[in-house]
Amino acid sequence: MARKSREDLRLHRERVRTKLKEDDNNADLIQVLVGMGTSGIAAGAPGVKAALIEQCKLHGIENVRLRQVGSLGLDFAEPVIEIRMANMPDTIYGPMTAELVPDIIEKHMLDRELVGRYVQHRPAPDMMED
Amino acid sequence: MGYSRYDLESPYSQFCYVCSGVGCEQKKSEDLYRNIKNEVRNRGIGASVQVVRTGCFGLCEKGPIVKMLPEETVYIDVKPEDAAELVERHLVKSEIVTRLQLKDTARRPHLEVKNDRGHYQKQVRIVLRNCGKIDPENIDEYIAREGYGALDKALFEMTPEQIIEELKLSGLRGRGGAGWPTWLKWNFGRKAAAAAGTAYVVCNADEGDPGAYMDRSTLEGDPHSVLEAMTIAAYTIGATQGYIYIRAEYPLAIKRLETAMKQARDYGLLGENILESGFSFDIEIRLGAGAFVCGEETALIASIEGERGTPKPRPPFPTDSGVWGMPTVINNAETWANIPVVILRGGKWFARIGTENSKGTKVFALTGKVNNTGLVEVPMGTTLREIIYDVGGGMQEGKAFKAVQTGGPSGGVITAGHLDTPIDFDNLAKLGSMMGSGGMIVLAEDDCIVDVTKFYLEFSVEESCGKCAPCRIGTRKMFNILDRFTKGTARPDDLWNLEVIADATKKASLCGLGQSAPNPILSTLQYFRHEYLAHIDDETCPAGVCKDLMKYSIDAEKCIGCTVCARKCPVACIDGKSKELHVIDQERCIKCGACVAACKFDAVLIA
Repeated sequence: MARKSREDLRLHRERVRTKLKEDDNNADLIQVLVGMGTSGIAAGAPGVKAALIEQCKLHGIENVRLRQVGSLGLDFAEPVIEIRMANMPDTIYGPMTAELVPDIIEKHMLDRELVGRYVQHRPAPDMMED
Repeated sequence: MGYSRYDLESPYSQFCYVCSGVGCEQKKSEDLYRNIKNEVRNRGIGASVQVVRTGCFGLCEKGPIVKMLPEETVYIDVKPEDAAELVERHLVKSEIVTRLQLKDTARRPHLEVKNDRGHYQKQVRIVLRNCGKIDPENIDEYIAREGYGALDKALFEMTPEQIIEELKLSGLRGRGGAGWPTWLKWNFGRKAAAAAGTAYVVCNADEGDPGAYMDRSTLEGDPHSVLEAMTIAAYTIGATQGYIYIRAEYPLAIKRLETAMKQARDYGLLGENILESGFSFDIEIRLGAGAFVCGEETALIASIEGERGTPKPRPPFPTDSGVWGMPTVINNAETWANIPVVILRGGKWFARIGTENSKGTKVFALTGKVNNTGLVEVPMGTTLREIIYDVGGGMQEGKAFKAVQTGGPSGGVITAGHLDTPIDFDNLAKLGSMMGSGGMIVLAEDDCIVDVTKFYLEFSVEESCGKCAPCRIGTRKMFNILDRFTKGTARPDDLWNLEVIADATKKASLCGLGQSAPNPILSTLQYFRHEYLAHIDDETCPAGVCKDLMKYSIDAEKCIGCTVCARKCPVACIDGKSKELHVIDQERCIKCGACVAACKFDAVLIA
């Protein structure tokens, strides 16, 4: 965490970008983004996150990384999670409950099958990829 | 990464999304879903195609919607009987069914982005670009997405004049409500700072409008964008100290800001000698105690200085005399979040989004009687209809749309007749409402306009700081009159009184809070005068909200004398013997509605 010069910042950006890209392209890694803004937390995101950790352990899934992110703005569907893994479309699920977590893990992560009814659509394209 | 990691090695090579949002379900999307599933099964492709029902897609007026992955082809107005053709041609033969495909002819050019495969998303996310994408407590994830790239560019490649020029090109206007051009503010601040020798930069995150939370969400989801923008402004005007004024009711935003500031300092992106450029700037957080008036910039400055948060007359404007009497540039959190993008992509890039005099996007907090409540960010110039029906998924329970309240206690209503008005600063002002900070509360047929207006006046009464009489007394008087309307005790001259006081308060109040407090009244009187009149002349509340104006009675034809209502009544005001007509004693009735719910014969009438 050293102080950075302009050059350092640019090198650091390349490093973290490469690292994040590697994660995205890592066929063995499952990333779960949990919406942890106030609306998500109020709707029960911490409980969903805890259930995800517990259930992944129970199902013996170790290659999962939980990441907290801000709100996607889909307040009507909070708590919202997004699952990003190889061979599946990036999928937003909501409203999530702890009870729904085993279903998501067994169907989406293990059987690579979407869990209908809870799939939400991405609200906007990512301008940073434009 | 979009869908790029999706390939054909999945058990399913294709996914068929059938929208099961409320709007689509009303148009038989459930039958469509079953038909598609049957067709897929009958053709023996069930092992490679998964058909799923999804949440609302938006575009509800064009539903039912079907989306095919991985191609992301979107089909609209799909009827249950279209299932066979869709499955046969799209899923089996890999053809596009052009007849049903969503065409993007009506799409405005400013919505074009390279990754926009769907041609359906009405939202463009600039302010919220990182919200839901990055961990707000991890600076590296921000840096990976061009974070602090704008600061790098500003410090090393641009002069302050060039930065202001870029802002001018962008056409960015303040998102706090008034819509003052940002470049002008910075330019005034810069000139005054050169003379004064010191200056301050302030982020106004004292978001107080009922139903508005765009600043909170931005700071919670992407705190670094605000820090980066403030540092750029400090460099531009020559400030070394900044303040973020945020309400104490936003603990999570405060925590994430503090974390972000610490990380930025550790990286040398905030504090002494930023990026070894020789430029130094630091930020302090100041907590507001929740007074609405502290969102007004002169009151906010007083509060930062530790004084009581009351406004001062302007001029002098904060750009001449702000914090500690020094030139100060104050921008709202949402405005700040736009800055890094303007610097990185350029003013021209930014200015192609929006309308002639309102560039870029606006974040709205969409709440009320709409299906998909939430934060939406749309280009300026998007119509209310698009926001409510395409993004918001339409009205809850199919209720009729009545109006949208925008601008909170300083704004007004927009009615059905103006659903197709492109929303920007100027058009909203013309309609008698205002952009405000961006709260958008959707009202339905069962919302009483007078009651809603009373709610906003009650808010203004409570939040009036009391310094000037027109606001302190005027808001109270107006509230009292509205209260009489809702209680059925309004006097014939009350409508006239209301207008006179509203006009006086607007003209004579010291600050924006008082000057705009009558707006909800003036705006609703303009569009819903008949509803006010109904409360006086007919002593009824057309929406059925104002209890004191409602009268419960029992229909002599329908009542069979079962006594259920009399037993359910909590105040025992219903009399009647078994198998005889029951009667409600109007004097004692508290209008709780228990009898209506209890009666199996719909014999209780409400008028």
